[in-house]
Amino acid sequence: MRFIVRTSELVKVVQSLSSVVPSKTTLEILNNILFVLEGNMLKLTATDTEIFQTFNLEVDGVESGAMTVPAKILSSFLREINDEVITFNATGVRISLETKHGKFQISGEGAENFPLNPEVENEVRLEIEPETFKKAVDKVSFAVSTDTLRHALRGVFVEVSPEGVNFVATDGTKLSKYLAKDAKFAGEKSVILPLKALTAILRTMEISESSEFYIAKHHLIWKSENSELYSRIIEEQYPDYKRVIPNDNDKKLTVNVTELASSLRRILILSNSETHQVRMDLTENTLQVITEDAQMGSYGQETIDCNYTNEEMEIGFNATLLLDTLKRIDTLNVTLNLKHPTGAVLLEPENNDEAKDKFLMIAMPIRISSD
Amino acid sequence: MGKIKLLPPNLSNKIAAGEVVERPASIIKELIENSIDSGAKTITITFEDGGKRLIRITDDGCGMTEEDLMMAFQRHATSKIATVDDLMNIRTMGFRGEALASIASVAKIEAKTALQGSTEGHFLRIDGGEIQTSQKVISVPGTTFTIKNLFFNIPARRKFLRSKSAETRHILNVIKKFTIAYPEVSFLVFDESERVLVYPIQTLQERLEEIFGKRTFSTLIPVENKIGEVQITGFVEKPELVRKSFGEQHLLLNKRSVTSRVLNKAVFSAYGSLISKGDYPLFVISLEMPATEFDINVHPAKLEVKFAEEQEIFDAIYKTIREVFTSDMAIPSMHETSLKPAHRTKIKPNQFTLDHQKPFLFKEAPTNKHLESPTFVKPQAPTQSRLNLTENMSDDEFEEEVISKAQEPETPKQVHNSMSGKFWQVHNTYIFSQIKSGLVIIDQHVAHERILYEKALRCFDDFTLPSQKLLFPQTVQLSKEDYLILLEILPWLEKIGFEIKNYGDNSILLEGIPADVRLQDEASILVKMLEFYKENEFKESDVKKNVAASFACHSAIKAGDKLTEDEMRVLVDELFGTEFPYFCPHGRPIVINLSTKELGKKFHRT
Ligand SMILES: Nc1ncnc2c1ncn2[C@@H]1O[C@H](COP(=O)(O)OP(=O)(O)OP(=O)(O)O)[C@@H](O)[C@H]1O
Ligand SMILES: [Mg+2]
Repeated sequence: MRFIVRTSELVKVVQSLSSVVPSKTTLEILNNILFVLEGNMLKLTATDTEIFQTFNLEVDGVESGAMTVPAKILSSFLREINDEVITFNATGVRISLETKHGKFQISGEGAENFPLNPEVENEVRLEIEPETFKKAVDKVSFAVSTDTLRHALRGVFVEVSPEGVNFVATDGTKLSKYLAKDAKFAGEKSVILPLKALTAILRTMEISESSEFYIAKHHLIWKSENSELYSRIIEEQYPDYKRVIPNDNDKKLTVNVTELASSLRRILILSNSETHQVRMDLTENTLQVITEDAQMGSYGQETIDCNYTNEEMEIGFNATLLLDTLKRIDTLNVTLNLKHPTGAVLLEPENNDEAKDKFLMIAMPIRISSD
Repeated sequence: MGKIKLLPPNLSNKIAAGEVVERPASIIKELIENSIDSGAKTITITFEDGGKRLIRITDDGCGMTEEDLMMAFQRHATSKIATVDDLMNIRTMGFRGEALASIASVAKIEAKTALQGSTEGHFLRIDGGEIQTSQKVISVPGTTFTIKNLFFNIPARRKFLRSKSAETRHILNVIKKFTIAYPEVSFLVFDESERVLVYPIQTLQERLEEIFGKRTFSTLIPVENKIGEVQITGFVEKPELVRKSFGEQHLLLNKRSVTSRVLNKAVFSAYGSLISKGDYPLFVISLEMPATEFDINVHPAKLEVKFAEEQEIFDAIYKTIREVFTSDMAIPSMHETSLKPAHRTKIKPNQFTLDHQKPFLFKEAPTNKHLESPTFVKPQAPTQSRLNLTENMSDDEFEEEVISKAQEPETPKQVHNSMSGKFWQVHNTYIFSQIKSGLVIIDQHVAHERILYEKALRCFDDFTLPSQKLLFPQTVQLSKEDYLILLEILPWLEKIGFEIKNYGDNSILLEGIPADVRLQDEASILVKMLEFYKENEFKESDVKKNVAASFACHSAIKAGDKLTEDEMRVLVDELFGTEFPYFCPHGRPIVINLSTKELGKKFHRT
C-alpha cells in the first residue's frame, strides 16, 4: 500500500477515529486503525466492536492495499507535524512515513484480522436537523447514567411521540428530556442509543458536512459526506419515565440562572464533600441557599431575589446535581416547579411552551439530615 | 402386626446417637422428614412464637394404625429399616426411630392420624413422655402432629432459645431446604395466623424462581449431567455475576439437604479463578445416586455424609459444572459485541474436558492454572477488570513488603500530613501516594468501607443522614426471612439514609438512598446488605455494628471503580479522619506502607 496525503487532512480524521479506539482492550488489533486504499480513495476504520466508524479520504494513491496502523502513535506523530505532504508506504507489517524533513518507521499489523463492519437490517431514517440533533444530545447527555450495571440507563432514549421525537436521559436522580418537534421517525420502536456513539457523532459533525441518521434493527447509523458510523443500540427496556414527570407541581419558583448557579458554586465549596448537601429556604420572593458541614466546621448562606409567592418551604439538594441541570438552561431565568420538600422538582427554561422545541429536566431532592 | 418395630440392639447400637432436638427448627425438620417419608403431597406447617409455643405439621401421607401410633413414640421404633443391611441402603429421610421419642421427651405432643382411604383415626396426647389421652376420632386421612411448649420441663434449655424472630428465621431456613428439595410437594406455612409461604406442586425451576425471586433466578445457569450412576441436576450462579456476597449454597443428596466438604470443594473448584477469594456463589446442586454408595449415618442430625468414592464424586461434579461454565462463556451475552467468528472466541466447548479424561488424584486437587488452557480468552464482560485484578496483583505479592502498623513508627496523622497531595489510581483499585518515608498504597474499597462504617455508627446515636430521593422508587420483593430482618433493622437503615416503605406481604418500596453512596443498582445493594447481615449475625451480636458493617461493605466504592483525583483526595482525607484508618471493619488492612528503605533494598541500593 502506498499513497501520498496532506497531513492537515489526515490528522483530523485520525484524531476523530482515535476517540473510537477503545482505551483498554484485550483484542490488540482494536488499538489500530484500518487503512484500505483503493485507487485514490483511502478508507480508514476504527472500532471498539460496539462502534464502527469509517472515513473516506481522497489521497494520491500509488499502490492499493490494506493495513492496520497503531492509532496512538500515529495520532501523536501527526500532531507534531505541520501541514506537510507525507508519503505512506506499507510493506509487510512495516510502515514507513516520509516527509520532506525525514523518514520514520512504525510497525503495524495485517488487515485480515480486523473486524468487519456489522451488517444492518431494516434501516429507517430518523429525520432530524443536524443542529437540532446536536442540541438535543447536548441537553440530555449529562443525565445519562454511568452505572455499569444498568445498561438501559447508559444511553439516550429516543422515542417517537405524536408531538415529535423525544430525547430522554436519566440516572435515577435527575432526568432530562428534549422534545424535537420537527423531527420525524417512521420506525415503530423507540431505541436507546449509547452515549459513546452520540459523542463520537457530535465530534465528527464538527469536521463533516451533512448528517443523516438511520435506525436499524440492532444499530444506529450515521452518515455524512465523508464518514459513516455504526453503533449497536442498547437493547433493553427503558424505564417508564413519563410516570415520574410531575404534572401537578403548582409552586413556582422563578430565579435568575446565573445568580443561582454562581451562588451554588460558592456554597458548594463549603458543603459536605460527599453529599454536597445544600438547603434552599423559600419565603416570599426570597431564596436562601444554605449549607453546613458540622464535621468540617464550615457554613455558608446567601440570599437571592426570586419570584415565589407560595407558602414557605425548605428543600434539600445535592448542589452538584442542581448545578448540572442549571448549566443546560440557556434562558435568563429558570422556573423550578415544586410540590413538597421530598417530591420531584421540574425545571424549565423561560417561555418553554412557545419555544421551538420543548426542554425540561427533573431533579430529585435530598431529605436533609436532621438531629 | 404393625409396620413399626423396635430395632434389635445390634442395629440400634450402630446408629449415630446424640441430641436430636436443639431448637424448634429441629423439630420441624424431623416432622417434615416424617411427612415426606409418609408419601405426603401437601405439608402444612404452623408455628407460634418462633415455634417455642406451638408447632403443628399436617400431612396427607399414608397415616398410621392405632397400633403403629402407639409404637411410634418408642425409642428405636421405626418402620423404615429392619436389618443391618438396610442401614447400608437408606432410602428414607428417617431411619433411626429416634425423632418422635426425643420430641416427646422435651415437649407436650399431640398426634392425630388416619390411614389413607379411612376417616376413622386415632388421637394421642403425650405429656413429658407419659400418655395422657388415647382415643378413636374422626379424622381426614394423613397425620397431624402438634408440639406445644418446647422444653417446658427443662427450663435451662428453654432459656437458651433465641428471640422469636431468630427462631423464626431458623425455622424458615429449615423449611426452605425442603421446599428446594421437594418441588413436587406442596408446602403451606403459617406464622401464627399469617400465611408466609404457599408453594403449589411445581417443577424445580418454578420452585426456585419463587424462592429466590425471578431476578436472582435469572442469574443462574442450569446444570444437568449423568456420570455412571450419579445423576447431577441443579443451578449455579453465573461466575461473572458473583459478587462479594454470601449467596446461599444448597447441596442435596437423594433429596436430603447435606453438608459435605467434598461436594462443596468440587463446586468451588469448578468456579476456580472465575470468582475471587471470598466470593460465595449461589448454587443448588442435587445428586441422585444409589444409597449404598454413601453413609448418612455419621451424625445424629443426618446432615453429614461420607462417600464411598469421594474422588469420583468430586470429579463428576467438578467436570459437570466446569463444562457448563465453559460452554456458557462461549455464547456471547446480549451486551457482547459482534466480532467476526474468528475473533469472538478461542474456546471450544470441550477444550477443558480434554485434560480430564482420566481422573486426577484428589490430593492433586486442580489448581486454577492447570485448568486454564493457554488459549483461554475470556470474552469482554463488565466484570472483567475486577477479575483480572485479583489475578494480576494479589495480596501475596505484596506480603513481603507489607509493613504493619506496629513496625511503622509514623502515626496515621503523621502519614496523612506528609502525603504529597498527589494521588494515583492503579487498576482502578488501589490509590498510591507519596509520603515522607516512602509511599502508601490504599485499597479504595476497604478504605471507603471504614469511612462508611464509622459514619453509620456515629449517626445511630444522634442525627439522621441525608437521603437522596430516587426518581424511580423500586419495589423489592424479599423472602420472608429477609423481610423479617429488614423490619428488625429498619430504624437503623433509615438513620443511614435509606427511605423504605413497608408494603407488607414481604415487599418494600425503596424511595431514597444514602446521599453519599454512588448511584448503582439500589435494590440489589439492599438485598446484599441483608444477606451480609444474616451471615454476620452469628459473629456480630451487636445489631447496630452489624447494620453498619453490612451497609459499609455493600455501599462502598468497589475495586474497579474509577475515581477522579478529587474523589481520591476526599476519600483519603476522610479515611485518615476515622478512628482506625488502618483496618477495615472485618480486620483487613487498608493501608500498606512501602518505605524508601524497603524499596532501596529491593533494588539492591544498600
Ligand atoms: N407423618 C407420619 N405419617 C406416617 N407415619 C409416620 C409419620 N411420622 C412418623 N411415622 C411413623 O413413626 C415412626 C417413627 O418416627 P420417627 O421419626 O420417630 O422415626 P423414623 O422416622 O423412623 O427415624 P428418625 O429418627 O431417623 O426420624 C416412623 O418410622 C413412621 O413409621
Ligand atoms: Mg423421622
